[in-house]
Amino acid sequence: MATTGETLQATAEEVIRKHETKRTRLFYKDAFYKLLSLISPFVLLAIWEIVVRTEILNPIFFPPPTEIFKTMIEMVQEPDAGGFLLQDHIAISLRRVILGFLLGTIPGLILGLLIGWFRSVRAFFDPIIAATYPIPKISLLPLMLVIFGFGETSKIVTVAIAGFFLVLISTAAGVTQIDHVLIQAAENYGAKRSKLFTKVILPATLPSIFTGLRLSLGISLLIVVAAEFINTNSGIGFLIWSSWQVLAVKKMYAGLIVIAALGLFFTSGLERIGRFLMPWAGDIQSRTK
Amino acid sequence: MTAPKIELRGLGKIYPTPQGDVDALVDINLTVNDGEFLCIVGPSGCGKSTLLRILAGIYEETSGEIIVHKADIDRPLNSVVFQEYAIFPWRTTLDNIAFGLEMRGVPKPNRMAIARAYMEKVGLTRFADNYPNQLSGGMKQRVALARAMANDPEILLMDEPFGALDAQTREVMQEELLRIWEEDGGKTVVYITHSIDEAVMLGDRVVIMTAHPGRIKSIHPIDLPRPRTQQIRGTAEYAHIAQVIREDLSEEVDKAQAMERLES
Repeated sequence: MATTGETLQATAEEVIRKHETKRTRLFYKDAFYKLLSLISPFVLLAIWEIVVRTEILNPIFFPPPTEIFKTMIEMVQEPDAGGFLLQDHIAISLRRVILGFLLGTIPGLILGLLIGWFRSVRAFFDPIIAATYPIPKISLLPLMLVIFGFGETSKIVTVAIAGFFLVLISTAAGVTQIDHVLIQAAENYGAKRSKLFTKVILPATLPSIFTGLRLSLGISLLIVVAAEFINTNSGIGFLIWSSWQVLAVKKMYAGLIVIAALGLFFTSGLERIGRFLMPWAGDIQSRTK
Repeated sequence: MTAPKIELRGLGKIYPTPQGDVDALVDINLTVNDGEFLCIVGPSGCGKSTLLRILAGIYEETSGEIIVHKADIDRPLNSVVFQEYAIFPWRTTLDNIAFGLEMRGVPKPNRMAIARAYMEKVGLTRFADNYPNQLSGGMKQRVALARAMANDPEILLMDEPFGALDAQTREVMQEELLRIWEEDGGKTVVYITHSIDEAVMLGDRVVIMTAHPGRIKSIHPIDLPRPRTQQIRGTAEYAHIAQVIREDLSEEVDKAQAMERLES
């Protein structure tokens, strides 16, 4: 005869077993969706390859992926007319993006915090920003060329101006949107100016700052490519533009792929940094650890 | 126990609006005794939250005076528990509870030990390292309560702290609040609520406020024995006091609603 204890034990085991199967099922479902996301680019490339090989699409405008890939390998090994390998173009563009990004976003972040926090600073800068922000930043490139010449500086500064505005605006908005009751609570619990800033204002604004940084990086890539279209002999933008001029379509695609990869790399990198700095802002993973 | 802790004399608050000045509070005269649990009840818009924020030093009064008898210069004068919880999303449960101590410069080992003790009291030890977005409303308000108690203020100011919780959670929280308050040696508490039941359950006295402008209408002593639990709601004394206060307040609620109809 089974004792109550044994019956309970059996019931518990049954519950655990059911729970486990449910979890395994969830695990497989998750893995299935991840696999779908993983293979989707390859499916697209395969379709592309097939429709070009069967000449449904014109291979002159849409060279098959395998051909583009071959071209990319050649470009890594053999320098172009200007003596640059593909990786040189990438390095040159990266340097312009990163320097411009830093030069723009750091002052943008500082001024954004000041504008958000001090009404007087906001009152002073608001009209200036409102008037200058709507100018498409790429349209400033000719002016920058006049001021700085054809060298690196004009490109870097144009990138910087775009990043500056985006980070400034989202940072300032982040500060002004802080829930007022959080500030009241912090002050009630004895937070004075500097502590209030480092322990409340800054962490509360961090998500907005990251939104600004992400937008800035995207725009930085765009501006670098556009700036490299004219009067330069290096960079991804140059690569794409010069390939068009000689109708080297495969090289053009190579440039596009590189730019897409850089964008993806930057975005996911920033996202990782954001998750590391703001573990509290993420999705709810579990209620208990 | 009957020494006055807070004295309000002729306190008034006027809000300037584009349509002219609005009297939020008029001629508030009130003494809160040391160690007293005082509840303030009133219809919405009676300025009870404004009164609490004036007591907290967040807003400034327009007229009249506040005298607070500070007993200990090392302790903070007051700590507020807000209806909106107002805990910091980027801090874990433990770090949120330690916030006030951290701002006061209590060394880390000490403040962590105190914070842990209060985290234990509110039953959140399992959630020490969780962020607020992983906590339920009741748990968030427990964090806020523990943060206030850990700060060891002379006066605890509570602004409808359980107003956003469901009825069951609210009742559990009321008992927990009373238990922790009694364990802590009975701080002076000013507790704002719109619930008569809550006020009678918790308070030593219940202050009823009128609406538009906010004035004190009446003050009812609650002579129910402590420690109190939810069982007290079943007693005849409780029912009687609650009924008296309900009738007293219903006039005000009617008036407030009539005003709103007139204005709309």
